[in-house]
Amino acid sequence: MRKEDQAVTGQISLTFSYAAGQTGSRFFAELRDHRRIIGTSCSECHRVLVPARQFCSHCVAAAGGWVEVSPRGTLVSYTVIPQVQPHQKHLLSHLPTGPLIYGLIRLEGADTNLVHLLGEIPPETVRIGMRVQAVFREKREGNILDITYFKPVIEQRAL
Amino acid sequence: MTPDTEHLRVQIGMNLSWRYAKGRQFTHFFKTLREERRFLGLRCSECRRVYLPPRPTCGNCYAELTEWVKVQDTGTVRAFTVVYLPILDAAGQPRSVPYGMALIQLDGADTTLNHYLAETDLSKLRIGLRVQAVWRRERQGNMGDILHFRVLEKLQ
Repeated sequence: MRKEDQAVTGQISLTFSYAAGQTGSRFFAELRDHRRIIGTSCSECHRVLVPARQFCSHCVAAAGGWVEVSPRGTLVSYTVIPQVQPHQKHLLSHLPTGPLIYGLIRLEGADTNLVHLLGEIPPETVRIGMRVQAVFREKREGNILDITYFKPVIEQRAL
Repeated sequence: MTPDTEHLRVQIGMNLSWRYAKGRQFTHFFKTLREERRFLGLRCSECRRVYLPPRPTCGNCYAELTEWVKVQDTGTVRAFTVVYLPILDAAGQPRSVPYGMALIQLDGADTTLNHYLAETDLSKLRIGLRVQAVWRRERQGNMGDILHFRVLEKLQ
């Protein structure tokens, strides 16, 4: 019997559209219009939350105000994806080369970590603690991929 | 916090594909569906219950099911609904609305089969309605070989 006769195959396309909310909308609009990464600071513990949140997850207190953070930061953790799943394929088009690498990034001025992609870096040279910076997309649409990926910061060395 | 009048949405698309083994029972069931245009059920040797769709063991007796029996392509609606919200069908494909869905007990089976109804007028649908399978001309050996079930009785 042919192998195809013994298998059931199928495909499902799922589409999501959810409201970014008041705080999320402002966060994305700043990325799109000004290439700025902004967070909110907790009115009680003063942690700076990036991406911006409406309330602090530790204190359950309303965010006190907007804070601009640096597009540069430190790599807290990462993972290299050797086997890209179908739902991740579109992310590869954002990178100059593969493989797909996810990074957890602590931006300067933020007290939380941001999940994003790492680009322009061979996987074998990625290390925790390295300095990275945001690369903004030319055509920005108001979503998290307005940052295309984070690339290593080339430190200027004093002679 | 300054109020912001612009409200953005996050759009995400995801394509998932699957492939799983039919197993011995479904392989035979779908082969008969495609080649003979016929439904087969599996009869339990202990309680005599006929399962359609087929399954390896009886849910009541835990007896292995091995006896294939012919089941008619006519049956009775045991439950139904009409879908109006555009959503993906059971095969993951978009399906135009409205469409009817029913649990159909085929003649000769003791269990019900989940399938589409050609009739979508709720006032014409009722439990106990007699229906018949409408077969696809080019059959591929899957549940899509039956387009839907049509109502057999004269509608009031």
